[in-house]
Amino acid sequence: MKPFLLLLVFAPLLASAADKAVTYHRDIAPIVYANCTGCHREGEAAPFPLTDYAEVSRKALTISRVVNDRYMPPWHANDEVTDFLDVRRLSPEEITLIDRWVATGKPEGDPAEAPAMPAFTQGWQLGEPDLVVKMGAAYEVPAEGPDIYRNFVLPLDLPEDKWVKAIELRPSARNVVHHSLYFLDDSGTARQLDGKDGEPGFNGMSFRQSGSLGGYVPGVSPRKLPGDLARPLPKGSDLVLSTHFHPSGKPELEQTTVGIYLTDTPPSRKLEELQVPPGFGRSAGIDIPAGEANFTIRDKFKLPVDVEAYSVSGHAHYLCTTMKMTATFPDGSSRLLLDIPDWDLDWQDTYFFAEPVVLPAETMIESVITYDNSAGNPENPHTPPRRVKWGRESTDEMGSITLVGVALDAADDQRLNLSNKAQRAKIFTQLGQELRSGGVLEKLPAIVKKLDANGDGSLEESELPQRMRAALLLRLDEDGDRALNPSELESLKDWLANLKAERDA
Amino acid sequence: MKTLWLALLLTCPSLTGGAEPHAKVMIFVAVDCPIANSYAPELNRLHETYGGKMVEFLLVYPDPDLTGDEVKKHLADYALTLRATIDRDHALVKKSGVTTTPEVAVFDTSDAVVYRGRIDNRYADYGERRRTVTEPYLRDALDAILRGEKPAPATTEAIGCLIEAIE
Repeated sequence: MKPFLLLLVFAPLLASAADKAVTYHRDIAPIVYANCTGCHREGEAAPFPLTDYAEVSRKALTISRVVNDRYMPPWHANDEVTDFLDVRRLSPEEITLIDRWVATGKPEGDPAEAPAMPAFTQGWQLGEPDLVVKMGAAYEVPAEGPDIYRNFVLPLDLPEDKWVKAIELRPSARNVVHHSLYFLDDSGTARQLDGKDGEPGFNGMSFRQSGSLGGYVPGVSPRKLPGDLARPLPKGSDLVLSTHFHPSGKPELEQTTVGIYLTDTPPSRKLEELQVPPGFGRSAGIDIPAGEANFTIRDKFKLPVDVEAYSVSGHAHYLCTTMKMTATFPDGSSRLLLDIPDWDLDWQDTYFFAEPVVLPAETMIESVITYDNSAGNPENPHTPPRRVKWGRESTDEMGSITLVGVALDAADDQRLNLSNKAQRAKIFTQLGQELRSGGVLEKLPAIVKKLDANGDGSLEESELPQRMRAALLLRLDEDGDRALNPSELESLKDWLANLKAERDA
Repeated sequence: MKTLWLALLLTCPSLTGGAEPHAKVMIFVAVDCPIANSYAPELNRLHETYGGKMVEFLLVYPDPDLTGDEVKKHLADYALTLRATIDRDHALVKKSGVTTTPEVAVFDTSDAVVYRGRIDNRYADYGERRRTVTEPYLRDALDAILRGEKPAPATTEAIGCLIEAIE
């Protein structure tokens, strides 16, 4: 067909597309239902409902502004390089449609052309949970002030081991609960810390996490782990919610309810959390000079066996700017597993791969995380900027990317688990460097004497330096009594002696 | 519209004791804008600090669909102590030249807008909140007026929920 004939055929089509008015029912409602209404409806987290023409029309200018700004829908991963589930991101064409609709006076159009409103589930999204627990008392979030990070202990009192398929959070004050991470504690330390300052819960991350069950961010649908996969929930474990609050302008009471979906059957393969770098960046040398606008940490982990990965998630605080996890395959080719070009602590999503990603043995996983500690970063918690190191407070920094998956072959479970443990041991290497650089070995008896406030010859948890507490106990507390007794302190001496010998050699 | 404004003026005892105020501040808010709501405690503090210095405050809801009861509930929920009005016909929006909630307009004794824009720089952008305010624009503007000077800057860009035009 000759070009001019093509034009003759298509010109009327093009003209009609351009002339066609953009209407709410035909063009806008499908975008809103698919991307906004999940949270913007009664009983959900967003500040106002977007369920019909009147509600959307009332907020049209604001909607146009925040979608152009890419503030909404909230989605921070680059999904052009990796396919994820539940992507909440508008295409440029969808944004143009919204802008045209607003610019042409928000025509309603014909209700007959409207798509059916999706069937949103009220209440528990996955049906009635097997176990429902609620915070014992409500926590009061003040009207204003900096964001709050608070841990709440929910005793589960399970008499036998269970396995968790999914978990769902129902906050009572959704407008202030920004996100929540689920940890397990089998040591009872979180219970001891609970309420010590007179309010429900406790601050800081100084309890020993014996496991993790993922987390909640508004907009992410809870989902059950695929196949027979499940996370272990050992009997006697307490659930610890680590919740991030945004004050709203008025005092709010939060009393979270959690629904847990359980199974009695252990999974055929063990789910591994491959954290790169481990310990939320404890070993990665996070020490950012005041004013430094481009500070980078990196860490690598070589997969010992074939791995099938399901999800990826990042963790860092306010100074972090970008995050990237790359897989480099044995043949030298590579692909991005996670690319967050504009990290936002507020949206710490877990990104589920659209299809499980198979990574062959010998694949190198590398994380690169950058930070901006300059005054030009409005989210810098310090004015003027200060030197920031790794730490558990939100004004300290952390940085890690976690890939969750299993050994493709169940027979490789053990090897993957051992490699992951060795990866985590990097934390101790770092700790060892800190200890020996301070000449700790020579001064150890004097240091122990000084730390041993009650003079009983053991160092109880509260007597250990806070920065090293968790790592020291994890490494040395063999009888699990949350204290280092004389024989465990002897192991510390041996360890330091080994480190010294290594250095001298 | 005028009658509502008048009624509010009459029913609420003026803090300026009948004398002409040095400045009038209109603060445009919405009942469901999270950024505007997060300023509630600061609005009360502004009122407390400057109310006694011959500065008059008026909270303005530029929303034609809002009822008086909804405004009363909002004031009670956020413990707001300021006088309030609903700007149903956007007369105050036009007079002030505002586009956003929260946004403020400060009028001098000749009823001219001498500062318009954000309350402070707590929000650098949508979702970007400073822990510490480093530019308290409205306070600076009011202090300048009380010193007999012109506020500088005279305008800043507000961040929040855009005010929808009325049909």
